[in-house]
Amino acid sequence: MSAELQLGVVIAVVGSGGTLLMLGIVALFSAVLRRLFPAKR
Amino acid sequence: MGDAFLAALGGYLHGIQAIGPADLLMLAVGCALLYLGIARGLEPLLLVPIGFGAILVNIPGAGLMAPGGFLRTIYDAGITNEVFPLLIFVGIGALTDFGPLFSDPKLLLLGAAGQLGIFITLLLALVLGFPLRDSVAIGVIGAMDGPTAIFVSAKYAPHLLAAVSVAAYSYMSLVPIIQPPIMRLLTTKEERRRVMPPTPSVEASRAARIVFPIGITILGGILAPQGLPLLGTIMLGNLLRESGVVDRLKGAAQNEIANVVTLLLGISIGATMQAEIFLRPQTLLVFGLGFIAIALDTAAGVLFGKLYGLLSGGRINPLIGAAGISAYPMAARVVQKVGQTENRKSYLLMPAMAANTGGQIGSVLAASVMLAALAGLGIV
Repeated sequence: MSAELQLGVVIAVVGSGGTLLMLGIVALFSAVLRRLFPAKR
Repeated sequence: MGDAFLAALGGYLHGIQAIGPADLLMLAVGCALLYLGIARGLEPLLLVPIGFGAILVNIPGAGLMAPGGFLRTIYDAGITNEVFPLLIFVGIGALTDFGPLFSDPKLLLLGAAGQLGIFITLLLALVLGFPLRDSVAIGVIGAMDGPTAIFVSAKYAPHLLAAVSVAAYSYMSLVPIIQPPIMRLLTTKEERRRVMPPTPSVEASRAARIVFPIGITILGGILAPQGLPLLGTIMLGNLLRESGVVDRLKGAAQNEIANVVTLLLGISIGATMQAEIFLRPQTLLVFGLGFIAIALDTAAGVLFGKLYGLLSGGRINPLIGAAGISAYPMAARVVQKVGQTENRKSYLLMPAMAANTGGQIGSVLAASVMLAALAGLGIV
């Protein structure tokens, strides 16, 4: 495997995992906001 | 006197003498883009200025992309420094309602699966022999997000800007054609007919809607600062929308700024479609890889939706996974349409909108994380 392809694999793994992690944080943040600032019904 | 007349007439003939087969082919490509935009209605806001820019830049002798030329000036003013795609993001943020994600934040995760095509395509491009920076730009077509693709391509592979941008916008407009066959291929009839329980009607409060873009900018910026221009501008636009106190700025971001920048962005991209740059085998490869990226995004989203459905005890219709891409709200509408075709009692629009919102944010985050990884590796 060439050095560039190895770097690509690293970027792909870190990138896809990082995207999932960051979206998880956004989802968690949304849930916290929903609880902290409930809408008036 | 006679020589002067001949010299003056020679000026007229200069263009005819200079034009070659490659220029003529690119003029045809420009006309084809205009046809797609005008007659077929495919992303006309972008394809019309792009097509016209391609025509302008391939008429020999005008020098519009030479230093000081009209198109070069616009290009340097907004593409080289990445200002145009970022200003478009302010408009997108002002137009996007992040409300659906408050109703079921878990569906946001489908937006991560919808970005998988970026990373697999990056690897495919490397295998095909593209250098790493070019592969990153090609992979980002899979973000299904024009401004992100332009931002990354202009930064790391400006010679691929035209191919990447045209591919990104063309495929975005073809989402209703590209996605349904993949959705059907990867799901059973029973899964497609599945009726999801009604999404809990949770209205997000004004405070939550205001704190959301501020908090995400700070959190995302700290974790992946290289992507902050993308994340920060989309969240700024959304703050203008949700704050409720800057209606003029919100209106300007949604209309005047977005419209003017769309025109300048489109014509600048068209200006990069010079025959000697565009007519290369690698352009076809970029288009092919871009298609694969988008197909993989859809496939990954649907498969993640299936997994989600399994974990939820069959309450999730896997079709909504296909909405985890950035084509907003087109992908959610496609999901609703496919679901309704299979079962008239199935209403997937709301959960699909939540997944689609995840795709919108996910594409920006994916690019941000990738840029952060590149910076961490010392490549940029």
